[in-house]
Amino acid sequence: MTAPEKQPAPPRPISPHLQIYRPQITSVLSIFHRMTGLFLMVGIGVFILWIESIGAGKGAYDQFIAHGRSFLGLLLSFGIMISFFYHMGNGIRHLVWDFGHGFDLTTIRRSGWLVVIFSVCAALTLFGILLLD
Amino acid sequence: MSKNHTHHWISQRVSAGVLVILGLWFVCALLGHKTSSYHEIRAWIQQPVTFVLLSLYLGGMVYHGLLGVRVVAEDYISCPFRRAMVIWAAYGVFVPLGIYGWIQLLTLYIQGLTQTS
Repeated sequence: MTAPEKQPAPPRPISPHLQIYRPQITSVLSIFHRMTGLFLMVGIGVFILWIESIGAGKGAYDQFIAHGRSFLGLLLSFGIMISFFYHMGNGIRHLVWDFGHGFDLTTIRRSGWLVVIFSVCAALTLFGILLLD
Repeated sequence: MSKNHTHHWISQRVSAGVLVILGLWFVCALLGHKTSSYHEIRAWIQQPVTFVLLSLYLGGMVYHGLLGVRVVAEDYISCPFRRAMVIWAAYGVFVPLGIYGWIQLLTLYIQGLTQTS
């Protein structure tokens, strides 16, 4: 660097955005797609722990399942399930857009709500079937 | 530092499509094995088809996930050094983790081959 050292410029003002913009189906679902995607990375860890427990024998596997059925385990499991179905559903919504369809506002709102309803219903169903008995 | 974004875009969509299919398969498999014993689940994983599909699923998850982390980091981290560090950290955690997971799968599969049941 050959330029002389400068004092760092004072932070410039920016317009308020998150504080004033009303949350909408478009923006909220978009950020949730990112959030669920990142959270599912934790799911990758759980998946690997599951495989590891199977390799480590019945005792390890039973312990894994027992942890999964604890309160925190159930919470985490449900979080992963709803993130999984949401990210999948909204991901398909994205793929449809990539093929050029569904950009009108009505379809965007309808498909958005469909994804949300699907995520909740699918997660509750899977959770109920697998973890509640 | 943007590399070839077209390639990234295509890879993200292709891996997404594969993961939709494998993900649905995995959910169905879990439902099908709801009442299975530990030994039944282990034997199922040791089948060649299951081993291949689970390997693809794990690899796909890691690949697609890292692509996602990359775009998120590129969008939100403006300092180039920090951005690179975050992306390297993600790869540094999840590639070894994925390899470890796959070695677990491979070990189970090989054990299944050498068992005499």
